[in-house]
Amino acid sequence: MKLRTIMKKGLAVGLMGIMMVSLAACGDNKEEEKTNAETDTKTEAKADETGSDAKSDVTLKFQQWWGAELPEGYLDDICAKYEEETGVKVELLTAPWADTKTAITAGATNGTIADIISVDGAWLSEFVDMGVLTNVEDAGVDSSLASDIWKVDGTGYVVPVLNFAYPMYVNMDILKEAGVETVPTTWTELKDACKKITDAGKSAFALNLGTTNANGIQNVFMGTGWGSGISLKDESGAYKTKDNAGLASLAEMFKGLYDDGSLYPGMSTLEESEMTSNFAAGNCAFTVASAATMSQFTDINFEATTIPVKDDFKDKSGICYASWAVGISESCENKEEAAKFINYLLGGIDGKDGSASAGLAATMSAFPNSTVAEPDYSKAPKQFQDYYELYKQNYVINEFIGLPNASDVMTSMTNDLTTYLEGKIDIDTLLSNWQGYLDAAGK
Amino acid sequence: MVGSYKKTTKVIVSILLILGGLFSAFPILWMVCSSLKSNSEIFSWPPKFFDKTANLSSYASVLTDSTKVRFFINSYIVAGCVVLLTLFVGILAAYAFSRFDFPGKGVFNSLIVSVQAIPPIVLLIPYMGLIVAMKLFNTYFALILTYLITTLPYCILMMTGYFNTLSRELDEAVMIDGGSRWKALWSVLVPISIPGMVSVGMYTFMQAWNEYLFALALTQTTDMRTVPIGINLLMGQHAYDWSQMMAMSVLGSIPVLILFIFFQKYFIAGMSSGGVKG
Amino acid sequence: MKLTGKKTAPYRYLAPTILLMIVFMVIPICMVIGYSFVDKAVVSQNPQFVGLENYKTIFADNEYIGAISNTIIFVVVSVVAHLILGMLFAMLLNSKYFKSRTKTIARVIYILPWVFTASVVAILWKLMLQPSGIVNYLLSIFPQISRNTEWLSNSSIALAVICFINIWCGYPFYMISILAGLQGISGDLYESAAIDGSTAVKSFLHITIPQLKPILISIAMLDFIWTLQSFNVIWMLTGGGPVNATETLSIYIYKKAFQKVDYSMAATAATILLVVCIFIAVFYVRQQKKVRE
Repeated sequence: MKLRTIMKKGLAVGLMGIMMVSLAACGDNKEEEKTNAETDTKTEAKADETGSDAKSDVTLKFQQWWGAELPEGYLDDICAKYEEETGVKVELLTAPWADTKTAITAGATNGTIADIISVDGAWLSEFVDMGVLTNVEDAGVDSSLASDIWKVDGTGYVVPVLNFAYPMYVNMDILKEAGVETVPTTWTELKDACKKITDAGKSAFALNLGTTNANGIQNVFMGTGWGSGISLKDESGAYKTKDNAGLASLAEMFKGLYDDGSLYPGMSTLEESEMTSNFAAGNCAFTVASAATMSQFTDINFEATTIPVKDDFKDKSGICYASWAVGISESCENKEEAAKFINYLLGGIDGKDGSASAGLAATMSAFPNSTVAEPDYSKAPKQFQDYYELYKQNYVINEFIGLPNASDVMTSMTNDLTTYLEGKIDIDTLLSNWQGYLDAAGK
Repeated sequence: MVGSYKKTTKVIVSILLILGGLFSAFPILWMVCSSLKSNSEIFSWPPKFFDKTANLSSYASVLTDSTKVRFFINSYIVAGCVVLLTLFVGILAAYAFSRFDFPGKGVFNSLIVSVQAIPPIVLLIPYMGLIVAMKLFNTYFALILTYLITTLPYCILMMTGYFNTLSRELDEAVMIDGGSRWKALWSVLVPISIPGMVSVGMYTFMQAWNEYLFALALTQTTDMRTVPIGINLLMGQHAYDWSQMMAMSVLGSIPVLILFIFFQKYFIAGMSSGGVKG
Repeated sequence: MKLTGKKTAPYRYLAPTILLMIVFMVIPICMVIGYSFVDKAVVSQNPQFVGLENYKTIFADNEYIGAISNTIIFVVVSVVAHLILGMLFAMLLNSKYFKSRTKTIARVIYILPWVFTASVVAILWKLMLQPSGIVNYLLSIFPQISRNTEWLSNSSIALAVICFINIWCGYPFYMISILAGLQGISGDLYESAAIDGSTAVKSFLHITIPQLKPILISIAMLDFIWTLQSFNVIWMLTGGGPVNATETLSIYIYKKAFQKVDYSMAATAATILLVVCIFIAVFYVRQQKKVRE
């Protein structure tokens, strides 16, 4: 009887073992298949090539969220073309934008990080602190191809590929209904227009102060400030919000909109994605959102323009921007090859062909950071072409890029702004609280 | 008198049933409606259940996208394996907890309950280190193992509970007939416990099907990703594809519901006679 | 002692579980506890041992204290409501008033909220509760509610709304478990009670509840621990806002770990949570013992 028990137990354990092994084997098989397939394509690629080079067994992993934003297969095509020309395979690792930081952080601490990683301005400083990023110029990125390279303490870590400007979108039908004749260009005009729209029973201006992704403070609030030359920093370049008269006037302008009931309801949990969708559905008159979303506004009559400026402001406007930028990870074994791919994205194989960059820019309604790209916007919406003219007359700015602990600081600043707008703290408290967050950042 | 009392009760109970149904189903109905609309219609005011333009295009774009179909297949493989493994390992442990008294029982029991207490977010980095060290990174096995571990405690507790309601005389009867404990477990206790196993299995399947954070970190390439990641990939940097997201969730839920419909006969099958301890 | 002997039998049944738990749970948990005693864990190559410094810092953090009180409200309300609703719906589905086909359909409908991933639940409710969403539209028959009514962004009711949503998506789990438990109660018990002239309420209190008690305690305790960690729904709905009004411990920990990249603090908060849960677990195990004796 005992023997039987043992046999049965043994059988069960054995079965379980087989199950596990077969499972593991399943995984392995898949990988094998994949590698086989890879080698197949590689051999084909090699066969096509005239002079196959020795480094053709290099595979670069490219962690990004762009693949989910671009039309399906667009980025794969760029990589396939690159492989065809150089024999270097670029494998795309796509994660949702909101979790790319989490994925990179987790990967960096466990050695599974990709070779090339895309970085948002808000993550830059933390990744540098953690030693995730390497010096791109040392690795061989041609700095003459990029108009801008993000630096921390003088070292270039990240190269933007595309820049997304943040225009103000205006729903012309709502303006017309509310009896607003022209698109406002100054704060007073904006406030009056908003009041008329609110009185007509419509929602006027969307300010997203949700904290799942606290970027309204950057895109909408400071976007409006930068437009009028208002800065978070003083002349020396240090963060200075306390007793900053420009910021105070900016906050008071928004407070005015809030008190008039002109801000889109639910602002304290409003996220950029909802704001954009609401604008696309014709639910509010003004919104500040990425140019990349313009192609979605197909059902409404809208214009894209620069954000209204402070009444007496006559200078050039600063336009808030966000980027798709790439860096090379410190643990990458083929830094040179990675740099070559970045150069390719900016300037093609020979450093003179900006077509990849230009194509990306035209597809995403973005502006290339490449010095050699000449995007063809002729197929872009008319509004974008008009905005492009405005864009060229002004300059881009984003004072949050490279700020240590940017996400955390932006969340704290957002929470205080909400509290201020609701009338629970005064302007001096708001600005001195902000000063505190900015001073403490990275310490 | 008694008849009218019964009637009133029936009316009240029926009303409750309908209200409960509305409470649980209304949001889902809204999800289905949204999946048939375009993104801007979802936000239009006044909201409508069905628009003239309602169409299945978001379903078509999910189903014709081979990467998204791959996400579904991955999720099934992972969730299916997890259910089988969890039930197997869990039933063994539950049997030990239910039928034996042994030194360390309390400690093991508390251990199994309290290991769940650490938020997965902080566990992620050290756990991922283990998975990478074991060379399981970016395989099905990494996910199966993870979900096996996270669903085991529930399985063990529930199955212990069910086994405890079953009389020990049942196993003893088998053993008197010359069978082993092993046989008593698998040929007597397990068949009676099917309702419990179905509910544990459902839970396990749902957990494995819906988990997001570990799936995000422990897999890397598109061919290993699961459905929740596919859904989150539709949440773009600036805008979401609401209607495709809804379509993908609806599609993901259908097989689960079919499974449930298939298994629910075990909930009604009268388990009350005989073996169950009164 | 023989390996196959009677004394080792329970351990053999437990072996796979114990092995898995120790390797994949206990080791990482110990590492997390370790993080809580050092400075700049994970991020830095050579973190400094700081003793209990992190614990001092965390208890001085008002945000943490706020998160604790939000968590307590959120967890207690959710667990109690889950239990009541789950029991109510399970009794409805088990009642003798309906045909079996009605019950079959009802069972499928009632389980619906459970089959969706947390981020989808959040997105769905966000769509419904947004200013121009269906909820405001349907409720605009009430004079107090208009297109501008705020739900999630109203700091005085946001936590209640979050609780409601969590209750909505969590009760089917109770319902299913209780339903399965109800099948295990012998019909004879009710019959003999009915013969003794016992009313429905009485037999519910004296037969159903005591019979279900072990299951109820198990699921309530598990739900307690799970709700403590509930993250996705809250994060996607409010991000802890408006102004931290819905910030629970899990949100606090996420913000510390992935927004501020301060693993030491996140690990400290998690360790405290672990200690609390160990107490609950021990209490639970004792309770189970009592029930069995």
